[in-house]
Amino acid sequence: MRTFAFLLSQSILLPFIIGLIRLRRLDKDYQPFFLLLIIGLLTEVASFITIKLQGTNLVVVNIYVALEWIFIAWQFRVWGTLRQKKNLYYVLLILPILFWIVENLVLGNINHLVPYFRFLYFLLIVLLSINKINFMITHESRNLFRNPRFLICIGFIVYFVYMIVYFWAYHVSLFEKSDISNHIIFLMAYVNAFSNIIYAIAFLLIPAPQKFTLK
Amino acid sequence: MENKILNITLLFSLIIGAIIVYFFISIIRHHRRYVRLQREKIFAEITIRENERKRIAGDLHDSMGPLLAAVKLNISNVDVEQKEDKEVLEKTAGYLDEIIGSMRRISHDLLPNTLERKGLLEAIREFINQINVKASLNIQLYVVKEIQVPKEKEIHIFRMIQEIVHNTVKHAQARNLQIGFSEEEGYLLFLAKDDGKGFDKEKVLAGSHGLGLRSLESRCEILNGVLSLESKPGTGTNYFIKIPVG
Repeated sequence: MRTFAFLLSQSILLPFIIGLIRLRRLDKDYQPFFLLLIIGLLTEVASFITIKLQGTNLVVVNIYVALEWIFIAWQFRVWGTLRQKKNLYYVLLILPILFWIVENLVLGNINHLVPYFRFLYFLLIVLLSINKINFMITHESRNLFRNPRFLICIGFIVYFVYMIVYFWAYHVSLFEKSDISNHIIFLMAYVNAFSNIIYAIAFLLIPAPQKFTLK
Repeated sequence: MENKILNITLLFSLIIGAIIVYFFISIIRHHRRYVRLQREKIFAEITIRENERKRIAGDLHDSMGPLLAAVKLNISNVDVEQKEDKEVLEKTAGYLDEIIGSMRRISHDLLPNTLERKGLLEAIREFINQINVKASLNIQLYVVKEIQVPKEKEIHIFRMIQEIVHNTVKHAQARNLQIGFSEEEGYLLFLAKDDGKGFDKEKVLAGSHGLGLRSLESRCEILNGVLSLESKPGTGTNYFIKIPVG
């Protein structure tokens, strides 16, 4: 059981390895997401080390969430979201970061698991993903389930909606023990693994960049 | 403690509610944009097609027509003595007359001159008279109220009437077709009724034979109009079109 749980927690290796194998063929449209996977993997390693040395990985995780927001927002920008509205994009990018700075550095919560920045950026990522999916539903004529962007957005929605529910359950469980909260928290590894499998399939479907040459 | 649980639960519910509301708003927005783009695409395709027809009609009428007339004139001025040669020349002149006649007909079918010179109603009257002569269909035109149609909409309305009349001639096996026009509060109202065999509208639209009907719907859509069609096997067909012209 512990081995299985450990394997589930390393599921991020799946999309990472596939991305690494296809690195040369990886379109620049997906590079921010691949960089995020690398950062995710480094965070796993850093978390392992800090738990061994200090007993907690909260600082590492809190820094990671800020980076996760930056890279995902960048990825949506590369895909064309708010391309015509530069100012709105920068406001959308910077406001949550300012929120993070206030919550973690100014209020000194970097050693704690505080939900408010997380709720904010989870919500923003889900909304951006919904917007992208709805755009693809109304504009794409090909099979959406073979579109890597569609799959990645589905992965984001599944994962980050679950994370909203997870943090609600986690904070409820701090005050009151309940089976529902425990079950929701228990599902974390499975949802994480499921999202990573979707990302891995998306990486397999990424087309090679078009070379404009007659050779 | 209960307050804290309540607060966090309220926050969580608000977030989930915001996601659901945003989902619906987003899909409606994208769908509207998609419909607008589709309409613009259809309008562009129809406009290009009409411009192409106009160009070809113009080329036939202005270039080939005078050339063929000149050829006929030159042939008629050729002096020959032999009887056989005169017969050949007469035959040739006859063929040229046929070619000139066919070309005028093709040019007229592509874009009737009357539409440009005298307007929509006159073009429709001329078209109906031609059909009454050629086909075994009696078409009656009623104009309840004089209609004023913007120039850019005339060709589309004319094509829709052409389509309806051709459908009736080809498929309906009707003896009579009544066409009525009226104008009311800035809308052009058009009604066509035949006494033919009728058809199953859903079946026709689902099959490949529905292209003419789809073309009617497309033209109506780009004019921001409404098309209603009533038909059942054995009961004839009614078309009702309402287009803003005000």
